[in-house]
Amino acid sequence: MIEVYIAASLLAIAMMWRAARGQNVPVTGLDDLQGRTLEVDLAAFRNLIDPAQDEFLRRELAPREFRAVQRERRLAAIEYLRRAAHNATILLRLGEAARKGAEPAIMAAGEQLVGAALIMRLYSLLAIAELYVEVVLPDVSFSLAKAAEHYELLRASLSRLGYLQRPAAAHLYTGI
Amino acid sequence: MLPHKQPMTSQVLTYVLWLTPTVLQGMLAVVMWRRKLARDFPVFFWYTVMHVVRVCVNISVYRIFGYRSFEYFAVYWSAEAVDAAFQLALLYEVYSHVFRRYESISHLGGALFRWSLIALLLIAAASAAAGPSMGNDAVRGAVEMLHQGTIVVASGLLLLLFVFAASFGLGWGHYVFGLAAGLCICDSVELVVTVVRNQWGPIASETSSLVHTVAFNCSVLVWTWYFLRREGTPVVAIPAAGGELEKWNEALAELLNR
Repeated sequence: MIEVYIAASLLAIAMMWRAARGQNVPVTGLDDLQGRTLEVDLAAFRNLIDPAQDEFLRRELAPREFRAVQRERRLAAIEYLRRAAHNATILLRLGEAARKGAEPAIMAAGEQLVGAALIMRLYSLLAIAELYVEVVLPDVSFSLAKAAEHYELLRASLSRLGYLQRPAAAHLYTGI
Repeated sequence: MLPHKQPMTSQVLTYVLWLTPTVLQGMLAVVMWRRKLARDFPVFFWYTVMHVVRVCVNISVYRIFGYRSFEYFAVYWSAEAVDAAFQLALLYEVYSHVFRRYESISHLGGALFRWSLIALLLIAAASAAAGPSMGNDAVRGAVEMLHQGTIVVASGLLLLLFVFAASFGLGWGHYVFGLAAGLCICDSVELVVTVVRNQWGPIASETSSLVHTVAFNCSVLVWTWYFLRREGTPVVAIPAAGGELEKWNEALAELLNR
């Protein structure tokens, strides 16, 4: 039992250290997005989780090949979701900074971005867990369309905030 | 506990380790009051004040009645009980501050705290039941087990909050992070120290008491550092950019082309 308590204590200290390190990377404006966000190809992600594509591959490939392909497709989808979750964290910070501003429209857009980012984080966690189940059991299938929809919503919230803050700075976040 | 029958240098060191955080906490309470932070963090403010009062009372009782007296035992462990109640209230304050920042998940904070508290209370009770026999000193053994239970609950609640905040990418805010970090240092060390002491008894008692006091000093230093500095940007761990997507794409293309 002592080992469990020591492990829990060390984990708590490690998590605290991880949070403390975050102090060095503040996100306060659109300029801070450059180099911190990752590109997410939403069309490719949608293709990877498309049930029609799954059905097509199931028809065209031998069962063993299908399982191998599905596994790779699911792992690629997980990577897209990790990127989306990473971007959601950065955009959460951006939204928080925006809602501290003085202009009501920007504050509201910041609040909207915070909400969208939190939902995206939640969906990414759930979808990643579901995809891992699918990696282990390729015949099991979950509907993951919501994750793509929420990422689109997150992008829309970012565009709205970006437009209100600096209409000419769309190039700073188009790749997200 | 206060020093007893130790060499002079060791006794001086123990007094320094006891009095330094008390002075710092006194300073902290004044700063919090003057900056009106006592209104935002009422539990932490009164916890700080309580600690200063506690040390003064403990020292007085120690000097009047002695270390081995019933009076000292009663005062020390009564203060520990008050401290335990404060710890839980303090954790609730930290949870409230973290979740208050996010309207869409603010209701989750209370639920997470309540359910985690229930689960951890059960773990603490099971752990106490499975612990070593209390021997002749049943009262002291029971008090120590209760103390261990409190620390298990407090450390568990903190760990859960850190994990939850990291999973959702939640920001902490300057003061809240300082408060949680100080608690984390103190509770994590105290958890190990208490379990070791309960397992090995008096052999580990002296060392564990010293380790715990040093950890508490560190916590007070962290609180002082964060509360004396003005609030800046929110704190969050942002993972490094990078990924293995290209590798997956290549593997997938290779499979499809076979």
